[in-house]
Amino acid sequence: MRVSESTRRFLINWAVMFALIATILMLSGVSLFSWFGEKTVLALFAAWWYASQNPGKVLFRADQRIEQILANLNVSVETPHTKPAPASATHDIAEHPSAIAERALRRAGLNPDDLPVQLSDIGLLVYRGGKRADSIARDEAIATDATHVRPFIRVNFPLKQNGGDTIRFQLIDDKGKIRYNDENWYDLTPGDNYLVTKTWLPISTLNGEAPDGGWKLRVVVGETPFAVHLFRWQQSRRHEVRSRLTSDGEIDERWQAPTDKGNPLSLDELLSDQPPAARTTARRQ
Amino acid sequence: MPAWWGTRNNVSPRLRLEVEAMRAAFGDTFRLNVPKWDPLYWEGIVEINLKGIPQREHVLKIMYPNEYPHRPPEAYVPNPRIYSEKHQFEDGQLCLFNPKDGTNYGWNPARSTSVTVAGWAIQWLYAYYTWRVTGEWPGTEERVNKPPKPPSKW
Repeated sequence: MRVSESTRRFLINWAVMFALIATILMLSGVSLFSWFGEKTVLALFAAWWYASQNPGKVLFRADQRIEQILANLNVSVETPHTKPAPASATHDIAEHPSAIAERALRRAGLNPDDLPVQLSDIGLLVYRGGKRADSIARDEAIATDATHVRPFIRVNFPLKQNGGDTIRFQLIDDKGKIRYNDENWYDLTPGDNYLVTKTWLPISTLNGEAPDGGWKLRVVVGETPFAVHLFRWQQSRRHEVRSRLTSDGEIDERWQAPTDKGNPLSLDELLSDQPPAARTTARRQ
Repeated sequence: MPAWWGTRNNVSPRLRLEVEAMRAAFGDTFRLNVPKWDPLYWEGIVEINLKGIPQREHVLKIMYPNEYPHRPPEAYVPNPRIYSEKHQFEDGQLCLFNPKDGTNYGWNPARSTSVTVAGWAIQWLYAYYTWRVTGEWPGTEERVNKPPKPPSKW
């Protein structure tokens, strides 16, 4: 193959430059190995390679992991990305569960200091269609869009041997009518015991009416009233809509969605409380 | 012609009603998707509580046609892929009612909502799996010709 003089010179120049660069890199590598040790150099090289393969990706972000763990626990936390709305002046600060439990004991006519068993928490698990509780309600109002509720208590059993008793959980409405009654034998072990009823109160069975006003959760151990916890309901628009739907999902022709012509609603506002695009818990209602 | 659901800045009362009805009936199970050009659709996962089926979780898609509510929403099951020789169109759309049934038993533009269609679609899934096992489609159905036999395997 015939090569022109200029091409030959160009190729020789490139070959010399390549040889020089290769020599410099080899010498640099040998120097780095001798100064920092081979493990350090290899680790730095691996990090550089990973970063070059994943542009924009950070190797480890502690806040992401913490958010993930809290998300799994259904706990919210203030982060730079999701700052909660500032609390209004009228917002109640949640009381400690033990203070609420103590009041429930006193309402039942008991003195917490005289009891061998300590009640440290009382309230209701609130469900909105799923198999897992959506929230725990102690002194917070329960929105009437809940599908069902389950009472619970947490008691500390100080004795060293196991025990147990028949415990009755009752939900009593604002007119004094018992709307739910669950009676079961519960085994108690030394230490903390979370007792959750095996049944629940479906809100939809309340004759289509949303529960209203102040209700009571009464806990009776054997034949002795043990705790009386007060809670209240908060009316939800979702419950009102549900009551206007037939079993076929049809609406009353006379009923229309609220139209506030003076204050148009944007699509973003309408869907502001919609869950994120990620797969939600599968359920059928 | 404006879309039946209004605009991004001012949604129609009908869409507000649809969203409220879906939330009231199904909670957060379904999510309304708003593509830039294509029609609005609900998508959610429903669990079919039957033993022996290959997959219990089914993705259900309820798509609003542009002529809504004069035409009913269309229902699809994108996952798992289902092909039924009965009561399903070639593009996968579920055949949920007979237009001959009229507004009392079929789609009623004034009363029916996407909740109605989602409920029918869930019933359709139960009927489909029952048909695969028993060879009988539960409930009343429109028989056009000789009914096809269900496939012997899943």
